[in-house]
Amino acid sequence: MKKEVPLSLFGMVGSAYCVSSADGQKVFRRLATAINDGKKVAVSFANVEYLTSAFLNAAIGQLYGHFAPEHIRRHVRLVGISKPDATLLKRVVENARAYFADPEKFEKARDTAMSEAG
Amino acid sequence: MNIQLDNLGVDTKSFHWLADIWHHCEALRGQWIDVDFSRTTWLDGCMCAALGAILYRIQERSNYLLLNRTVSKVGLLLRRNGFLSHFHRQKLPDRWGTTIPYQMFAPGDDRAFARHVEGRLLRRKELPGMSRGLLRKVQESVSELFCNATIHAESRLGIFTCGQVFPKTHHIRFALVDMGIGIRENVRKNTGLALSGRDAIQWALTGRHTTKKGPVPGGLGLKLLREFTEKNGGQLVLVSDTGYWEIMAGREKREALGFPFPGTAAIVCINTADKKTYALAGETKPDDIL
Repeated sequence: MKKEVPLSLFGMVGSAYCVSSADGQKVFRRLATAINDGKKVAVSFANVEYLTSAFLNAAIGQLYGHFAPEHIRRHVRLVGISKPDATLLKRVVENARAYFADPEKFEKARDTAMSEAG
Repeated sequence: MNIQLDNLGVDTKSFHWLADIWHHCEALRGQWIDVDFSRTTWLDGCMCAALGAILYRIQERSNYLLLNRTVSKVGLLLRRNGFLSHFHRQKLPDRWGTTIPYQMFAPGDDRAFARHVEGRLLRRKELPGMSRGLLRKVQESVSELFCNATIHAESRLGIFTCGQVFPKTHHIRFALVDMGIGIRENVRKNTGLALSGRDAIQWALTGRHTTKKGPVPGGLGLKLLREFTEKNGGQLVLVSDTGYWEIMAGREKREALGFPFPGTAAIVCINTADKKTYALAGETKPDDIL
């Protein structure tokens, strides 16, 4: 079994306020790179006081434009998430899956990922 | 040039007034403009965000503003909440702790805004009864508004905020205003839909509608805010272009302004006596989320 990569939101953002889309983007890049490398990531919500859908859309919702849901489930584990944050993230994930169900948007996200990678 | 202000509350008439001021000043350059408060005997503190944003935009076009004849009660409020400090007047201490200061933020300065909300809005001795769950929902809701303004408004002029606490009636009103492209133009540009101002706001609040096209999904912020204010028994007002949209006590109101408001204003009124346990609102297990 491969070792899990720990990713602390508090540590990455440098604050208990995980609110901005720009900070979410930083988390996304780290997560996407680790998943692409075949690693399993434990995303820790410890010490996070406030979350917004804008942050979660960029950090996690965006993954659904790049990876299949089952691939995300295999590679990402959520740790220390509070009940209200879990409810919010569930909404974000449902919204992201519906958003990327539109093939045009999915293709665009894939293209962006490929151009960033290449 | 003289601008005669009237009373300013959270209503269609007041936003119509503000849109009218912009309509008459939009083309002015290098003018002295006298802003006369002598008829303003009442002003809701949160409306300083909308008034300040419009005056800032007028000033930004090389015009010079003189704010005059503030009636004593209104003048005191405007000095206590720091509004008149932006127009060369000394700030007064807020002895009753009922003002939430008038402040501008750079778009994208989400964390500074969140700190401001926590310090100036949530951690106040005047609001002792707010539950931890409610405090958190309020912080998240206004942060969603700020993120929305940063992502959608395309405004370089900043984001203007102000509020007021009403301890006796147990509510807080908080406004966030940008001078960006507005909801109607944002919807038109990104979806091709040519809607009226009020229909564009309604569109943005409906179902899975979003103007987002890129790799980051969106479209949840306003809907979450609407759900929260309805559950809390509060009020949400959105004003953009010629649209005025409001929800209070489950009743929606949609009206048209005579002239376009030059940006977007969002006002949220929170019932601070709300005892619902927001912290237990969800029963989602971590393994079922992704």
